[in-house]
Amino acid sequence: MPLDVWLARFVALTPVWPALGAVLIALMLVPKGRPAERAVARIAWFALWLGFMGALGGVALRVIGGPSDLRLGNWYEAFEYSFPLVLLLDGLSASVSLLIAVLLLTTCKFSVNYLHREPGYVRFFLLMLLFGAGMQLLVLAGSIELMFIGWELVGMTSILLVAFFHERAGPVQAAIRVLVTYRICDIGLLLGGVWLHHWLHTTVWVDAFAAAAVHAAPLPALAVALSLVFAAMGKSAQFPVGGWLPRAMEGPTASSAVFYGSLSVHAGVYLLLRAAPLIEHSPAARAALIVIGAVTAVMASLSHKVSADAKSAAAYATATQVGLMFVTCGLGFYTLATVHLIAHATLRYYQFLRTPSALQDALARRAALGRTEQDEAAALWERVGLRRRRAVFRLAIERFAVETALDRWLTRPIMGLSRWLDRLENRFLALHDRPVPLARPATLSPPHGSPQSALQASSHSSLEAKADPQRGVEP
Amino acid sequence: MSGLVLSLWLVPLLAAGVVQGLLHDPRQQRGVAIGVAWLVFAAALVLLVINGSDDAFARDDIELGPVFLSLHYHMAVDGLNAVLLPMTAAVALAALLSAPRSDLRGDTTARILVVEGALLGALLSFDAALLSLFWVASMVPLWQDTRRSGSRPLHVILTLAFGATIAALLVAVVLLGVHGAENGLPAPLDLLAISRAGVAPPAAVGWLFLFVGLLRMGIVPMHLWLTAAASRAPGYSAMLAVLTPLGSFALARVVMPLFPQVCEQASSPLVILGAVTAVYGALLAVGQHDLRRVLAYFWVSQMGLVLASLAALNAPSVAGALMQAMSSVVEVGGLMLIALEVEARAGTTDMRLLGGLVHRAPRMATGFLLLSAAAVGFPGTISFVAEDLAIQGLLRQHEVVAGVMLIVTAVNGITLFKAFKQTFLGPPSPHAERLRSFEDLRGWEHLVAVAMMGTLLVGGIVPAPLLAIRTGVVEALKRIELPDAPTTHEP
Repeated sequence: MPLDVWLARFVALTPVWPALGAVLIALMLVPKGRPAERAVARIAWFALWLGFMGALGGVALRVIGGPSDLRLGNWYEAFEYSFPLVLLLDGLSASVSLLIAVLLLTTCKFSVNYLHREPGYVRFFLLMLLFGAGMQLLVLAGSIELMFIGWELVGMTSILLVAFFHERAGPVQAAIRVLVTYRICDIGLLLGGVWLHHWLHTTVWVDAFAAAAVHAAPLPALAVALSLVFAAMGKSAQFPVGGWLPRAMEGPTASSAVFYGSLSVHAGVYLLLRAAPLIEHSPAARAALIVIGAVTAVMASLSHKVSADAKSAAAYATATQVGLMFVTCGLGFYTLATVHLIAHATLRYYQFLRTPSALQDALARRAALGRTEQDEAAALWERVGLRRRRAVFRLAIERFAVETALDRWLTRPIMGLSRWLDRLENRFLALHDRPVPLARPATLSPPHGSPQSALQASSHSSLEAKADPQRGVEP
Repeated sequence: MSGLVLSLWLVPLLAAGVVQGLLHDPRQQRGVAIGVAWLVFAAALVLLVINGSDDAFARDDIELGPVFLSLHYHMAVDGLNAVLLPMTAAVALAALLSAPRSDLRGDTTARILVVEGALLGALLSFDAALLSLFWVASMVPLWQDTRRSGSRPLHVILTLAFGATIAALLVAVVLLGVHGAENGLPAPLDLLAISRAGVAPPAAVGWLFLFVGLLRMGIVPMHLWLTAAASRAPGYSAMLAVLTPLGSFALARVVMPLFPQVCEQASSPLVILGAVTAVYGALLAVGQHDLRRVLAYFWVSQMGLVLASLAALNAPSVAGALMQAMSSVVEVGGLMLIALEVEARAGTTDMRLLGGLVHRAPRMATGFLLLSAAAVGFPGTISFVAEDLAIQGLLRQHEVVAGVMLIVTAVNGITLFKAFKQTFLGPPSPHAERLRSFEDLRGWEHLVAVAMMGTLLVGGIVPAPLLAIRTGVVEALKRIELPDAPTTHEP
């Protein structure tokens, strides 16, 4: 077998190793009892190393000029339709895949000590491996369908890691916010695939790029490009759907670093770079990219300045840089955007890992230099008039009321309509005047039988208990 | 083979009689019921392995001739019902294994067995009268339950649904009988004989079966009985009767192959109706506070997707719809079982009174999360494949509906995760804090959840066998594909 074919097969396994590691850890959770931390860490480390070797193999394959379009067959075929398993290995995907592998290995090493004896230790490694598999699949995918699978895996693991400390209300509420944004914006990727299929009859990137050059059509190109831009906006926290990013910092520092500092938040930019040959066919979509990126950069930059905690400030700084990447993509500077992505992901990753020591770092810097960047910024800020300063400050501190507007004009009307229809149905069924009956808890068989008196007391008291208003708040 | 087919529906019905009439010890009742359910499940699996790859209407396994008047005993296993049989048996078994022993006394056990037997009988029937008889029988326990529930509105709405079903099926069977007599058909109610006779049966029969199918699926505005029953009727037996693919099965077994003219006329309106149902169900589900109501409306939304895909009348969409109808039963059934287990332990499914249960019940929380992910078509599950096929099929002629379905899927994902969060995550509510004795999934409950998740994952990762079983059915149904359907290139 030729070396390049062997290497291509090994590269195709890059997303598989972390997934296998996750499955192994999940299987360790099936019997009762917590698996040993050391065993979990070793599995994760080994799986990520294999993933790293695969990514390295991808770079090697690019260097020796092997095949870039790896067609592995179909996942399933049925009734004139097939789901193709195809990977695309070019300079962009090979370099980003290697970046992912390196950062995941670093995160694994960091987290072994950082999360030692944390109750969610096993859960963290399980989710991190799944995230790694999703991210590698997203980057190496040669079709929108396959990319969507990675995209979903990344989204789901992100949400679960935001809610890592699930005993507190804050992280759980933040996870819901992330979920809502992701789910809504994921429609963009699906619609993009649907439109692409409709326009060019393929969703394989290489085929679509070739067909788009031949069958140029402004309207389908605009629909595809805008759909993909919408998907990218959600994943990369761009205006007006970027409110989830600072909230996502509720997770452990390691996950904040690898998800929202470096990898996940750049997935949107990667999508834009991947689909650049398609987006280029639509000037309107490119203009939209520039506007969205610029607005995000300005707003996030100002919000960063007024953030009181280090992780939120870092999150806004991330959104600012990603906004600039959107602008560069819109302007067609794809190489610059790629370099920006890799450099920013690496730098921000390190910065996020350092956030627990941010205050100490700032004091050390001040002690060494006598002044900091913040002091210089403050000096510039003083030159602006007081009224303008107040207005801008107010806007920045309220995050430009974007979330309030979305809640007011989107979430509340939908929830209101839902509740109104529900009331209408209940009236129709004449069930509205009946209190919701609380069923008597069942007697559970011994030896697990529950103390009836306590349960019944709780049931009776719950009849009178009013729901905590905070818990009823919709996302 | 005939014995297996016969035992599949007859044994649960006989066992129900034994449990109800002859046994008085609850432990014996439960033991017999579970033993019978295991046997039926095993028999259904054997039938799947032996017959599952056969084409629709190509098999004639059991033919005992007229039994009573024109009631023709004709039952068979083909690609359409082969998977539904073990799945229905498995859900019945899961309900019996998961139900608390205090709930599983003679009445409930017998009802579950009756519903199981009736559903299996309906799925096996190739005879219109027999199908109608089993169809009605599968609703009787639910109707009786609501009569005893003390909720008059619930009983009224169930009586209306039950009465409408009986009336429609009765008229349809009479019309078919008259038609057969007029045309001299030897077996006027035999679906296979009708399809081969070359004389088109009256379109009114098709419309009546369509109505009954839509009613059973819970298509808007005929969903009220379903949501009311799923959220208010006694849980375990109601779950089996409500969360069943019988409605979509009737469309694929009776309406689509025998009444192509009805399908052609109704295709576009049904696609739109399916989309409206999907949106309506999703919209109602997202605003609910009660876990059982969330799942009821989620089911309605899923059935909207199934209807729209079936009505699109092309091979991928029909294959996707049939697969989605099947996987929805496992997913929503599994979620409903967990909701009932929460209710049994906490005394409520009002999510405002729950919260933070993951500490006490991590397995239950994991099961709910994974089943929710499967239910909204997370990659690697059966629903992903089903929705992918359905959307690809819808795209051929109904691009807007395909887009709407994508939005519905996104909203449904939000709904189920929100329900998960409110029930299992966050700080416990004052009510939940008092549930010191709230237990995690025990023995069989845990195994049932694992089996359901395993089925969905294995079927999703390796979907080829499931798709192969339905190939014959879909090929047969392709006969009614709309002539002007444009073909698209493949990726």
